[in-house]
Amino acid sequence: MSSTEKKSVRIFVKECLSIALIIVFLCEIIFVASRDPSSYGAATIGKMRRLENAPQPRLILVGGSGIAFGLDSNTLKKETSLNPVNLGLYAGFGIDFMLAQASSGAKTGDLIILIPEFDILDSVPSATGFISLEALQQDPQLTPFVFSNPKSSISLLRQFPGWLSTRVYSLIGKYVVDPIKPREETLYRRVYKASNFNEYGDMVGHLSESYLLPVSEITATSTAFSDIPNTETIAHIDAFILAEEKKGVTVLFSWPALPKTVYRNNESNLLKQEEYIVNQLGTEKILGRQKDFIFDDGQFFDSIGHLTADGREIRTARLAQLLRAPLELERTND
Amino acid sequence: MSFVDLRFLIFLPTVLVLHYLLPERFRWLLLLIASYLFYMAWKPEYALLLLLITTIDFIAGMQMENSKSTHVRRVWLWVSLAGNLGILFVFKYFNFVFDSLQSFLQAMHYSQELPVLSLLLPIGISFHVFQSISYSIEVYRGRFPATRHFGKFALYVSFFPQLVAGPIERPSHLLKQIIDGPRATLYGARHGAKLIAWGFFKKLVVADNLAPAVTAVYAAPGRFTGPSLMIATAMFAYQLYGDFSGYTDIARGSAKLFGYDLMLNFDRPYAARSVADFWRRWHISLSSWLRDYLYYPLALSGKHHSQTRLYASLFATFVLIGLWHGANWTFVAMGALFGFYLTFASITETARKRMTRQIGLSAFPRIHRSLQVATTFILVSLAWVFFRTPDLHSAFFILSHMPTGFGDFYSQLNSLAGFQKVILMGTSISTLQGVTTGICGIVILESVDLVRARGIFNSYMSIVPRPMRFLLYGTFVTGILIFGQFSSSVPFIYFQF
Repeated sequence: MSSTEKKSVRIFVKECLSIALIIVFLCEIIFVASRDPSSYGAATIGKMRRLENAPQPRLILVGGSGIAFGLDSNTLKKETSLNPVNLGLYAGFGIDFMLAQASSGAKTGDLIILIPEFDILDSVPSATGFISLEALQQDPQLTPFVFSNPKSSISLLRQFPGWLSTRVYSLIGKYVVDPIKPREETLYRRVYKASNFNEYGDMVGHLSESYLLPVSEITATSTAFSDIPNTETIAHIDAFILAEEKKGVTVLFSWPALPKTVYRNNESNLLKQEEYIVNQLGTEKILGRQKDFIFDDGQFFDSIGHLTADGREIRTARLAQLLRAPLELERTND
Repeated sequence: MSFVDLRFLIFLPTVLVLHYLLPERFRWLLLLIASYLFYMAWKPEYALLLLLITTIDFIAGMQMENSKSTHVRRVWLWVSLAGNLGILFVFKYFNFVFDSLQSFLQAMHYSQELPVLSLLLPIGISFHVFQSISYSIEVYRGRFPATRHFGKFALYVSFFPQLVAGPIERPSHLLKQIIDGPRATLYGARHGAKLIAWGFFKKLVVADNLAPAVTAVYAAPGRFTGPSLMIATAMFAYQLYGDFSGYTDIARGSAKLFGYDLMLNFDRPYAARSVADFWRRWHISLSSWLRDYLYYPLALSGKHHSQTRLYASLFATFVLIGLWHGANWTFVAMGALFGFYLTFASITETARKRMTRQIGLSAFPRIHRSLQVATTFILVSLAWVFFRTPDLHSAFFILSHMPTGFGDFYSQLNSLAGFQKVILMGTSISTLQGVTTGICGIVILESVDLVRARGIFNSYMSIVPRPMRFLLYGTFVTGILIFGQFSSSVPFIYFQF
């Protein structure tokens, strides 16, 4: 490279970097301006704080929104004498995010219960969807978990412009459209917000709602399950269990809730999934069977993973009952 | 690998860095390897086809250069043409010709199963075949000396920024730069970066935001009335322009970063005042290619230059322009329609001028010009209907239904639901955002093009203080990130040719 060329390249690179910095700065402005502490994603802040500060011994519940909507930590606390931390928020985070987040806060003596949705078990371990970026926007502390999987990083990088666009449109909605024509209060807006999570991280906003998932939607999801879960996802769970147990943390796996109709229509595939998971993780690591967490179609709120108040109560009782034996064993060993 | 693929955003800077780290004498080699890797990202085995085309034309060029005999030179030109066009025929037109023949035979009540080839069309084949042919013709005509450097010639045929969708370069322009060595300057690099950003804007903000609404209408034209069909057709005109000229700008910008200059392919086509003017501004590299290598030889060779022959040559050239786009009767019809426009315009030119004077329109040049531009846009958009539709039946359906449904048009515009139905083709809220963004994009696109055409863009930018200028560029790129259609980006339309 000639000296003139070197000089030109240097100037050009500097100019490109300056413009890149301006772009980053402008994105940061949008990032900060559209931050909404009342959003559903912002609930991660409270969950992370609880994970860091909850007194030991703790019961850390790991999964997607199914456990946020479908478990009652208060009852679990009474039944187990452990301090619950419900990390469930969104299945689209991917299993790697959830495991990294749980691992960051788990300490010797803690009990982790993994209850990933069937969606998670069926999908690649990386993150999908905008909500990872939204959660990151609310709580930068999540950065290492969001980017724990290289595929997640690429996927989120691809989604970044689309997500940025939704942020700008939400700002336009907030500052331009809303003052002219305020938005109607919908079920989604009423329920999906950070203030609807209790101190343990359970969603309680839906408990007083009378809405039930229409049967047509339950039937529509009847062919969504494959016969073998994503093998990479199960391998990551297995590796996580081994790593945590080395730290002195007990890890158990349990099953997500599912409506009867969906289960019935997919029974053979789901049983094969169950068999595969039991073989991979070992019977002693698994709490109950899939069938223990099958509920009436009328016990689901707005999706096949979200239980109503009734469903939640029954599910919590079943989980508490299944936890008795391993907890007894642990106490005897101690 | 598409320009809007994340991989390209890694590929381009990587090649660029390596390019400037290498000593000058090896840079062509890096670009050649990068070009083949770029092409192999689609279907690796088709790189062999590219190599075959290159080899045929390199040998033909050498043989023509070494021979003084016109006969021998002509034989080698025919070898080159037969090789290139033969490959093009097999991969692109074989099934079309045999399907059409079979339909004809069936219509004649003669049942005969004709062969069908199940070959995937190599991406951008029409572009690099035409570029390679231009080399053989130029060498045959003695306008360009045959190169003896196979590697540099291979780079001319495969140069990655323009490999899959042009501009279709001439050896006197691109090959000369490759042989002489590129001239990278700071000014060129800055210009290249701006062109790339502008290309992304055209593609992602204009074309891809308009695409869903256009697709909604063209997928089920029977559900829509005339106004919607017209609006969708006008939007398609801009989708096509944004898509193809966006690609070209990214290609030209990328080449500039390496110090190469690619020819201008678009020059504000929708500001054209006639269809002939439009083709001087639209896909310039193809129209000039066909003008030089097909129209002129057809129209001007021999002793008799009758008007009829000129018109027939013009018509034939445009039918071939249509056929170049794709092996489908819709493209033939599109080319024939353009050919008809031009022939008709040529025949009626004197009468039209007289009429303009008689009605006094020539006294109002601005109004006259606006009417010409609007008429040209309408005529071109009508021809694009054949480009967009999958078959002639759909094209004629859309064209015949355009004048219908105006009765409810004004009453529907009075309500938001009606507005959404007519203007936004009843599509979803995300399409509403897309259409709004796309239309704003068109306004920006035409305004910037107008300012640039008047030559005041650069002079204005030069008086803006540097930090302010950088802020403007940064804001522009951030705007692309925000308003560009990244999640459902449509593949470049011209990649299929």
